[in-house]
Amino acid sequence: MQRFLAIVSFLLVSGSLLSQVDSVKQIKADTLIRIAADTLSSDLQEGGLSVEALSYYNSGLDFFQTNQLDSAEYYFSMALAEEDSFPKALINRAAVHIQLAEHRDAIADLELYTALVDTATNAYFFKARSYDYLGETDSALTAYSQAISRKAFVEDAHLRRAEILRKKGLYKEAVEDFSKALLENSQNAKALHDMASCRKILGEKEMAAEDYREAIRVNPKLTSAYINLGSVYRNMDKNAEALAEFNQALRLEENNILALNNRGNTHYALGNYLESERDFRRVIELDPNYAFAHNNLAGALIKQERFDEAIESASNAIELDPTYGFAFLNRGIAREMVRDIPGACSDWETAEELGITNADVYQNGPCNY
Amino acid sequence: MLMFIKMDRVTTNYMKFGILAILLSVSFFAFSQSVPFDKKMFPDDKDGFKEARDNIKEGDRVFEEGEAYYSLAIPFYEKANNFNPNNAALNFKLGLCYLESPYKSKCLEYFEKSYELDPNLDPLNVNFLLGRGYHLNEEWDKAIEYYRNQLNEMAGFDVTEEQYRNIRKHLAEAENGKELVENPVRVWIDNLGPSVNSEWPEFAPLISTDESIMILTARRPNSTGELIFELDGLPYEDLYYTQNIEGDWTPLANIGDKVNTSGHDATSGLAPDGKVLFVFRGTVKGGGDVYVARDEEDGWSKPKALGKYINTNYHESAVALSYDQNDLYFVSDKPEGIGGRDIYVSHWDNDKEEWAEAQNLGPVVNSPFNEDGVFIHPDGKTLYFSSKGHNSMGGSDIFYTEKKDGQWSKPVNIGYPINTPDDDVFFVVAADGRTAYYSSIRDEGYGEKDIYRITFLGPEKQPVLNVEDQLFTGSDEKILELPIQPPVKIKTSKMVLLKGLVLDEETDEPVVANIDLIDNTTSELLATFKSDGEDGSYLVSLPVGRNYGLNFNADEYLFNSLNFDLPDSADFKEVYKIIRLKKIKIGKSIILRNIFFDFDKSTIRSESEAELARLYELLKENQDIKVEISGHTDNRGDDSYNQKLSENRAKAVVDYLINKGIPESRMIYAGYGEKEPVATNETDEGRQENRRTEFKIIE
Repeated sequence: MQRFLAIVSFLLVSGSLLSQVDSVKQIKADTLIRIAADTLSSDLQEGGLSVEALSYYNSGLDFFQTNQLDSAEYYFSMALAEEDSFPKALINRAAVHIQLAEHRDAIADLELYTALVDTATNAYFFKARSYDYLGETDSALTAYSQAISRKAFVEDAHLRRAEILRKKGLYKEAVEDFSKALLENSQNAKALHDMASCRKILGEKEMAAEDYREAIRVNPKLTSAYINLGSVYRNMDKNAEALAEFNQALRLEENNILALNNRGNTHYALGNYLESERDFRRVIELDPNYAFAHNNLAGALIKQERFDEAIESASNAIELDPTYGFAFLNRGIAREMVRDIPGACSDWETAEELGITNADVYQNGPCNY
Repeated sequence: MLMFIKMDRVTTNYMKFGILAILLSVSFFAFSQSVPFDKKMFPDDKDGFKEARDNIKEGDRVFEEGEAYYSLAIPFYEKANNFNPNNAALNFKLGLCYLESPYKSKCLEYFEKSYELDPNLDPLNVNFLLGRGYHLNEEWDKAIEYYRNQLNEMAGFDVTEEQYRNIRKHLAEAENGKELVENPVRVWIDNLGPSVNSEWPEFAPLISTDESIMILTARRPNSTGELIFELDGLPYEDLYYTQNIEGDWTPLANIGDKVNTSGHDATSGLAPDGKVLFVFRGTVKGGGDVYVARDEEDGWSKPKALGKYINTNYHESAVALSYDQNDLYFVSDKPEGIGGRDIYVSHWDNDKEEWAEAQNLGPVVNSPFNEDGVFIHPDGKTLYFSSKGHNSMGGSDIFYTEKKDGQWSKPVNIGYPINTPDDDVFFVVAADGRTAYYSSIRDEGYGEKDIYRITFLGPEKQPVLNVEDQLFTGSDEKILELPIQPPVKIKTSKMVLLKGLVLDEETDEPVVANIDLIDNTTSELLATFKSDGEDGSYLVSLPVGRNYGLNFNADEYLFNSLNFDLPDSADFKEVYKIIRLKKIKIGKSIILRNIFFDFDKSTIRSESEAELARLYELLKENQDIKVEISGHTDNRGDDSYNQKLSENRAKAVVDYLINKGIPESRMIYAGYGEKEPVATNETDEGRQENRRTEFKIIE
């Protein structure tokens, strides 16, 4: 009966573990059994435990079961005071710590646990997650590697590691981990998507496009994949293809600002200035504080020779962000065309100070006096 | 003789035959939709008919005088046309008249109407004339179509090779026009407004390099002599001027009867500093000559004819003087040219003090057709001119050519909309290369030819747009995509414009000073200018690619020197400098800006030769002065080192003068190191100012 209760408790603990740790949600239900298996193996050691230790441990389980975490922690600690090499108590207490977001303590318990239990697997993964949660990325990377080598949550470990690596700017390494995660599960659209994004950053446009397309095949409703694929196409000067992707993204989410802004840019590149204007105006409607949209609108208006309106739009962008160099550059262009040469020169000078290329060149000629 | 270029006339034999037929047909034609001028057609308006008939008679009388008078017939024909707008022959003649007037493009509506009323009126010429009309109205495809039709029609008639060539030329021009319009140059073309322009013709503008003054030709009432030219009924040409005061042009004023005569007097050329004016006058023999006048203390001098190598028995018109006043470009139709009017160049012979024998600029520049309206930019290497040849889009077009390694490049059409299907001549460019002026007939004008300012905008400036990406599914972080900005090169004029005033240091009064322009590398005296007697103003153009020394000198004053070392890559700059000349007195000092030393040494470089020679001359001319030559440095480096270096450099100058024969007792040298800065040592410019050699009168 006790064993039954223990198993149930562990299952509950695991369940709690799963629900409390943030992206542990990713962990599938069958891992519960693996956790329980870890723990059950340590049952072999039960024979060497004192009655007091077991009694404390069981009380701890009871409290854990009823979500009285502080009490649960107390009793697990009492059990470990009686028997410091008590793996089940360690792992359960680690679970309580994780639930209480006491990740440092959880790590300590998991360290002890993995030292005691040679066959521990999943504990490495949870340790890595705790490091991850604490922002100790190097330790997390090591722990994830350990989890992978022990075949604990391999896909997730690769994904988590990829995430850390890409945040560190190690995109090539991140791509490797994404690839390995996808070997475990090729149908992970988000992994495909993020791997594609790493490739985009690395300049591997063709491969990025291929991965985005694959992500879409796996999950046709992944809006960001359409947007980013469109962005890659635009970078490859495949503007017609880009347009198609942005249109698709907007069919899924008609008010997606990034998609609208990107589509506006693509229309602009294609010379469809009226359409680009429409998109930028829509973005502004949705988010009036999006400085880029105001600046981009200015660009579209300049190309339509509506210079007064362009000046107004660029000015809006500058008001939202007084360090927006491109907006100064564009306003200067519009000002020159309405014959406000001093205004144009002043704007280009500011753009130059803000580090914008060509701003100094534009001053040649009209601003030479 | 008019300065303004007349459009080539297409009066082929068969055309004349056609016109004669039309003259006879005005009254009698009755076989088409054309309404004849027959009183039976206007029973209810006998008075109106009579008036119309009288107008036609009067118009015909003028018309029969020849093409030069066609435009005078217009008012009469218009009145008749108002009465009866449906007479094919009258419409046709109005078209012909407009073709010979300043408003050529109006011919199309009349040719079209005439053709509509009677397609058989002049089958020999109708295609060509409609082609002309479309051409002048910039309907290129139609123009090309009708010119081709004309060539096809001509195949069945006895026409000369010249006639064919003429049509082919027009066809080529239409094709050029189509191409040029597809790639317009980015410019603003602005009328100078009513202070300069009027209902009367204003044309052939000339500007000083700094655009402070403009002299142009106008045909206004109250011209000198108040005569009317019989050919067109307009007043004779006179020269007028206007000044640019803070961006506004003053009302046009007649330049005066020292320059203007009762005959035609027209602008021909102006020196970059605006002090030397060339005037065109027609001659009795039928040619035309160029005269030169100078801006002196009491105004413009009486123009004198240029020498025998410029003026001939033929027609010499436009003239352009180079920045150093050593080269004179001019237009002549003397027979030894390449075709019609050509551009020539003459060099100034210092020994003989006259313009030397002229050279034709050659077949790269001069075409088999007329060239005119020459202008040499003060950068010393860009020549602007008009031509009916090359790839003109119609009439005369403006072209430019650049001199590289002594050779003129293939002329480039300056582009549409500056050039039009009609004549575009007399184009002048300001120092900055961004502004130009010319005369044109445009819809927005005040009447007839007006003066326009052209602003070159350069290549289109591309706006920059921004895109953000949200690249990772687990993150809201947006990553800004950095837009690629292709490099932009904006061409600027390759010269520095130096202007200012020469004043007495103590009284602030203007000083008439000689300004010697020297190439420091060769020690060659390039040119000598003079500051203005009235206000001390001066203006000097400095094309890039040389190390210039400028020496401002006047009797009883210490000279003042400037240095401009301009690499080939330097961009246009305007520099304003007031030169304050100091009287030769004890205690007065000057900075010798054109004395150079090897880096970190006291060895005088050869570029200093001219300045040293000037110093030597000053000491020779003023035997009773004793001077101190001092050296100064900036504040970089060790104090004592700087002191020693500056002293050695001063000594080197003194040693040079001693070697030239100046007694040692008249000079002392001193090194002040960094102790006496004249500018801040915080900037490169300031430090350069502080590194100097000075000359001071101590006794």
